[in-house]
Amino acid sequence: MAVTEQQIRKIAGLARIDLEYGKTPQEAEAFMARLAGQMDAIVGYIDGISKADTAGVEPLFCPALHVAPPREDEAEKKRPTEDMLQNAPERKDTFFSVPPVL
Amino acid sequence: MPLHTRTLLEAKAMLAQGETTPTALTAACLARIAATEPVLNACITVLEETAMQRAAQLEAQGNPNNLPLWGIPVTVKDLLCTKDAPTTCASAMLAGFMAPYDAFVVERLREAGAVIVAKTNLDEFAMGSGTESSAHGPTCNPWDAQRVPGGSSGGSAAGLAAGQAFGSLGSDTGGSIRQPAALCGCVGFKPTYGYVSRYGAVAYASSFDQIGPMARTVADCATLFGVIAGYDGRDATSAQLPAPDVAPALATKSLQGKTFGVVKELWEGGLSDEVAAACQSAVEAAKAQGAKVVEISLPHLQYAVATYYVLASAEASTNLARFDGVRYGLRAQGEHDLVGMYTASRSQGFGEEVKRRILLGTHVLSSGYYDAYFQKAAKVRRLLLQDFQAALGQCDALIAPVSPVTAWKKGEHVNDPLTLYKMDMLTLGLNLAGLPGVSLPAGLGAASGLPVGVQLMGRAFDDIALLGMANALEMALPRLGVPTGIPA
Amino acid sequence: MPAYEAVIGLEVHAQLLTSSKLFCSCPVRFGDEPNENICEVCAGMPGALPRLNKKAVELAAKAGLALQCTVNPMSLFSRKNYFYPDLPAGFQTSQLTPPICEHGHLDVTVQDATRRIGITRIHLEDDAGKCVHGQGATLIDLNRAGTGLIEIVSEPDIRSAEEAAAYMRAIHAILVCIGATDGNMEEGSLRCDANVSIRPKGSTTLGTRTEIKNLNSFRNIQRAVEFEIRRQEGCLEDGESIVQETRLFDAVKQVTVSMRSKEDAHDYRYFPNPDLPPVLVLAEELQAWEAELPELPEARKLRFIQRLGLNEEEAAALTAERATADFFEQALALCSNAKRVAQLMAAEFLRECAQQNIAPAQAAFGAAHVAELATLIDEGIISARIAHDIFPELFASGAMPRAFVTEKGLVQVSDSSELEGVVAEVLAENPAEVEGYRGGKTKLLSFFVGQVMRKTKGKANPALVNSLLEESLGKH
Repeated sequence: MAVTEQQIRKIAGLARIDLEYGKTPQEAEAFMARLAGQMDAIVGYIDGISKADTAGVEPLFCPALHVAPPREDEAEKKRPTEDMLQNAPERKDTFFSVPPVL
Repeated sequence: MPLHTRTLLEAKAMLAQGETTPTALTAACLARIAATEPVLNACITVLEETAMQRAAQLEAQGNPNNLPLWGIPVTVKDLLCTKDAPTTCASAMLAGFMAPYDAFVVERLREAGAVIVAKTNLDEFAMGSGTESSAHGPTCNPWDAQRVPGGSSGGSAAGLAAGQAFGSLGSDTGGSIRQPAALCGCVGFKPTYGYVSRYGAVAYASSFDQIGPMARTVADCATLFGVIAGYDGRDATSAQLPAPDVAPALATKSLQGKTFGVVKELWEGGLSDEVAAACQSAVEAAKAQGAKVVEISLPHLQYAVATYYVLASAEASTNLARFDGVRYGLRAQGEHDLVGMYTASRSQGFGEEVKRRILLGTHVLSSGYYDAYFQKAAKVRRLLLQDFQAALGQCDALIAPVSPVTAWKKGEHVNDPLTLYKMDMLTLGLNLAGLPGVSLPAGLGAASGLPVGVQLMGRAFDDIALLGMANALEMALPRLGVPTGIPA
Repeated sequence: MPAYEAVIGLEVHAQLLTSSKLFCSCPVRFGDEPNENICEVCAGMPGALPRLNKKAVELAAKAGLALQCTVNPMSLFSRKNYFYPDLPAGFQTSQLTPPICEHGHLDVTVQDATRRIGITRIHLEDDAGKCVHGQGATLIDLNRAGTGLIEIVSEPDIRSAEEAAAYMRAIHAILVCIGATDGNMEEGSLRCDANVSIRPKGSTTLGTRTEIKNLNSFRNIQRAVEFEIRRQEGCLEDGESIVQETRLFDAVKQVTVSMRSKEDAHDYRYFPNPDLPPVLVLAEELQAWEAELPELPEARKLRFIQRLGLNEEEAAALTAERATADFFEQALALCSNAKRVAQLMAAEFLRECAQQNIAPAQAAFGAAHVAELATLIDEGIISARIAHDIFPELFASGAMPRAFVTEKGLVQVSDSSELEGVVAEVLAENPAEVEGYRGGKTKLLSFFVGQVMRKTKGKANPALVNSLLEESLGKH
């Protein structure tokens, strides 16, 4: 299944990435063309898995073995609040602060 | 013999005999870092002060409890969270980020008496195989500074080869411990999925990531593994097993009675002549040590690369969603609404390869594509696991090259991601299956004079037996000597 | 104009009554300083990993058992991906398929008609944090982020606003009864989204639906659904089509308003969360949990009616909350006249609790007090009337009723020689009424009773007064 530049833009939007960010229109155009070529080659390659015969096969999402049962319900305050806030780009009192949701 | 060229076990013995001290070892490693970093760029953060303080403190305390790594300088890949130093994942997104906690394996290192001297360079968020996509700049190969050290744990591997530390912790999602170890001429061990807790290792692909040791010998790796392995209640995928006793691995000196499987798909096509030759001689060395060798097939291995890039990218795309500029990390300035802030921050903070994998992962999970890509790949993953299980039912370990080529020139494949992805073919099958693998130097390539690695792959949670076999094989392989691309 | 029928399904979110969050050990506690109860896991810091809370699994399974669901031996957590500042990891960890419980039902009674509402599924998920939208900035508090929730999704089997509210009441009673949630709707512990559509009566196809988000009281559910049905009928009558969208209920204006169109719906990219192994419920565990389930409100109500002879209203009032029913049964252990205890509780005790806004279990007037008061009436020591009069004082003070009535001299006069004098006095003072009664106006009896009561300050035994009056008035 081929991917188009338009599709790439849509996916990037879902992932909150602007591929042309900080680029001039010319740079952006060249970059998008190159990226579309790369993505098309990659997607073309992964399309190869369609040839594998997986009839009746259960998917394997994670190879973990010997895992423990869920934990007991015991509450504990583990981290000082200040440690959790120390990296905040912007805060107000002990809130994290972001630009308004429009 | 300079201190920094010793193995970890030698250094440990010297400490025990009083022939050296934690501060002397630490100072030697820091001096080595200072001497080689201008060429290598293997470290993102060097902890001169805290390391010397820690060494002095350990020295003052002595080692009454026989801590296994007392006074031993080590490095950790800069995606392992540390409370006392930034954790950047080699990304502009996390420049200066201070984790509020230590990763499980870092806790274990500290408890064992190790001295962390540096946090090492990597491909941004561990996505890459050349340590070229680092926001901190590329790391160079100590055998030839024009070349890549492999990746993503390239900083750890290059640093070990250059004597910056006696051991290091890396992470292996698709070969990120084994391949740089091979390209730099050291030993790297990827444990069974779940044997080592991932708590505090910044996730790339959760069902693939595994933390593991890197060092200059198999025995050193085994020693580090004994410290970091075992159950951790904070990682739900952690196996409920105690820390293993590594003594049997160190004591294995022969391959008598062992059967090695040569996976034909891993030897076919794409291998450079020098890699094929060096690895073939490693097979002969195994025979000389008593191993029986049989040919084995993993029929679904042809799908491994595609399967890996579907599943790992999918997981990565959502693992990296938390980097949104809200609570930590880079926040783009001058944005007046939330979506604008998100988009600008993520666009600025992530490099090109990370974005490419987020795009691919978002694509394969998106409405209309899930079944054809994600679900299908998860099924192929099961088939591949069954292939490995069948193969390992017929032999004790699989033997194969680690990388089809020796270290390539920096920039050589920058615009061709697919070619780089395909080169992971020899390593990533193991990650799909969650099995253990160890890479060790097979010799120097006849044409390039650069290190070639060979890997052994074993059964789930049979890690100690696998390390034992690697230990025995190592004894029959040539020593590589001193890297030629850095100051002596 | 065709007659329409409403088709309604509810998605109920209940905050689980656990000490720690769903995937980390941070305390579940509200009212603390912003971001007081967060760690690397619930704040979505790099490298953190989730570990499931066993109690949450137990509570979800118990909710499933109480709602007649199948509890799946294996269920999976998935990631639901979207960006919002109250969602620290960039995804919610929820269950897509299979969820922990499926295929249940709940019988709901409205105006004597009982209908069975299907429960599609119950799944576990983590709650988001809180955004405070202010001038020029949005502030984020993650104390609530990561709290365990269950979402109970009904089939579109509900047919009226009243039934929707009744369904929610029944869910509330059951979840509180089994200890799955505290049920505090004002604090958002229990809330629901309503999917509403209408269709011509008799039609079997579904109309376009709207989803009303975040309804947090029984009254709002009923009002919002009522409004939405009328609004949709109005649209169709005006020849407009209904837009599939999310709407919010404005409780002040009593209307629903459009929030955003579903057309730009997210692509949530659900996939199994690789950090969380499948959730396993073993047969033995499930059996143990089933054995631990208390008697459910509906079963208890029926038992109260059939075994204890209470009427529907009394039984309903006493079983609306588990604590009230427990209280009632504690009182019953001390006084076997169930009807009397039930009447006292329904008429006096619960009224007083509601007026004072005190939970039954917190009242100074306990089960032993109610039992003693009922016994006093039974023994003829005080009348029901006296009990009513003194109740507010008893309730407030927590005094033991027997001591109280003795001390206040309220013990009923059951001595016929003493009362005969009073009766004679009353008859002598009211000759005209006596004449009237004897002339056939027998209704005047209550007048005489009232007079005797007044003279005795209500302490006369009413039954005795009646018989003495009838006797005296019968004599010529």
